[in-house]
Order: sequence, then C-alpha cells, then structure tokens
Amino acid sequence: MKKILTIALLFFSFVALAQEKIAVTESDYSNSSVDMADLMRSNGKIYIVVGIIVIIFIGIVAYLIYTDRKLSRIEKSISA
Amino acid sequence: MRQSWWKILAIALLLYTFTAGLLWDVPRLPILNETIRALYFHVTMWFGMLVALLVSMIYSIRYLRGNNLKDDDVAIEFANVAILFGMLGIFTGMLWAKFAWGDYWSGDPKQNAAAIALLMYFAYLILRGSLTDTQQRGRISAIYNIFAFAVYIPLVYILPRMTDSLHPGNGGNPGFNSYDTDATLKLVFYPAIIGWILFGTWIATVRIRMRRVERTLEDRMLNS
Repeated sequence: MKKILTIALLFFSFVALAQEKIAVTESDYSNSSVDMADLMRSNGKIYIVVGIIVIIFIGIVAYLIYTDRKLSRIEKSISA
Repeated sequence: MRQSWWKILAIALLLYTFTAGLLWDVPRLPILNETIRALYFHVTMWFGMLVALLVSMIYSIRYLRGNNLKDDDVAIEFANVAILFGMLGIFTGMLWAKFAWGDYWSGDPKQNAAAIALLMYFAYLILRGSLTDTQQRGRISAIYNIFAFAVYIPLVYILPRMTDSLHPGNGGNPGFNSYDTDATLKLVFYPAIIGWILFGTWIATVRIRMRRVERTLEDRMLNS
C-alpha cells in the first residue's frame, strides 16, 4: 500500500513538473534564426529524394551481390 | 571476386546517375521543367534493351552454328533482361507522357511500336515455354529471336522516325542534336547508358549461371 502510494505521488509530481516547462509554440517551427539540417531542406528537399533513391539502389545492389556470391559458392560445390 | 571490376563500375556509374542526374543543372525548358531528367532513366532503359537484344540475337546465331546449350542460356537470359528494360521503359514513358503530352497513351507511333515489340518478345517466351525438348526449343526459339530482332530495329528505331511523332528525334529531325541533348545533359546521359547496360548484363550473367547450375544438377540426377 505504501509503495503504491509512493508511486502515485511520484506520478503526480511528474505531471506538476511538466507544467513548469516552457511550451513549444508555433514560432519555434517557423523561425529561421536556429540553424537546422538545412542543406537537406534546400531546393525543395530534393536531396532527400536523392538519398532515398540511393538507399534503395544500394539495397538492391547488396541483394544482387549476395545472390552472386551465393551462386559462386554453389558453383564451387558442384564442380568439386 | 573474379573479374568483378565491371560490376563495381556499374554501381559507380549508376550512383553517379542518381545523384548528378537529380542535382545538376539542366536546361530550363517549358512544359518539360524538371522532367527533362527522365532522359537519364527513361531513355537509357531503351538503350539497355537494345544492347541486351543484340547480345541475345548474337548468341542465338552462335547456338544455331554450334548447338551448344550454353549459348541458348545466354540468348534467353539477355532477352529476359531486355524485356525487363522494355517494360520499365514503357511504364516510365507512360508516366512522363501523362505530364508532358497530357495522356498516358496517345497512340504515338513510337509508343505503339514499343508495345508491339514487347508483345513480340512475350511471344518468344511463350514459344520457349511451349517446347519441352531442349535442343528443339533452342533451335526454334533461336530462329524466332533472330527474326524478332530484325523486325525490332526498323519497328522501334526507323519507322517511327518516318512519320510525325511526339517523341523527339522523330518526324524527320535527327535524334541527337544540340536541341534535345546538350553538353551538360550528355555528361550524365552517356555514363547512365553504360551504367544501365552493365547492370543489366550483371543480372543476366547471374541468371545464366543459375541455369547452368540447374542443368548440371539435372544431368547428375539423370546419370546417377
């Protein structure tokens, strides 16, 4: 009972603490004074698209290399 | 890693195509806007198809001369890659056409010819699938493949140029001039062609080797 009470009180104290924080407002999203990863956001975020395509391509190539190697092993085991 | 330099070259060229192709400056033309970059992806598919079909046809001739099933493996797998490139070419072309010409399919001579060419090569696959004897399949499909290539070239690369077409390079004007492909476009376009051709060759060789392993195993089963 004592434990549960402690936990409950602790929980409420966290809520109370949270209320003391500074709220995130709309201006935090629209300001240009804070530098973020802006390179990736320039030119209509085209770099993101490039990144996505490159990731997909690397994935496909990795799969192809894996298949290629697996096949080489099978070829070796057959000729042996 | 036996003889893998060209695979690495293929990866490097395609990574270059994806990054430079999307980021570098291109001519700012009306209607086309950024879709001019599809040159590096849509048009290169057709170069890939052309080269793969050429290789397929050459190996069909070699098969007829030597009756070696290894040549037949090369012929069918390069035809498969050519069909893959052709289908990707048709679909990317349809998407591009929707935004450049206003419709997915406008009955453009080159669109129709490309569709007929694909049907012709689907028939090649059906022909192969309908024959069970390997030597007979190799022989008949090799002859079909040679004739199909002889039809493919005028159908896709000559006839559409002799009539009015929405595709650039058709309706009398040459395909490669300073108007459709300027120097900066070529800096990505040519490497992209080589990259796609090498990548297609890689896929084909993996599948050729698969066929050969399969045949070896089948022969062992029959002989044991």
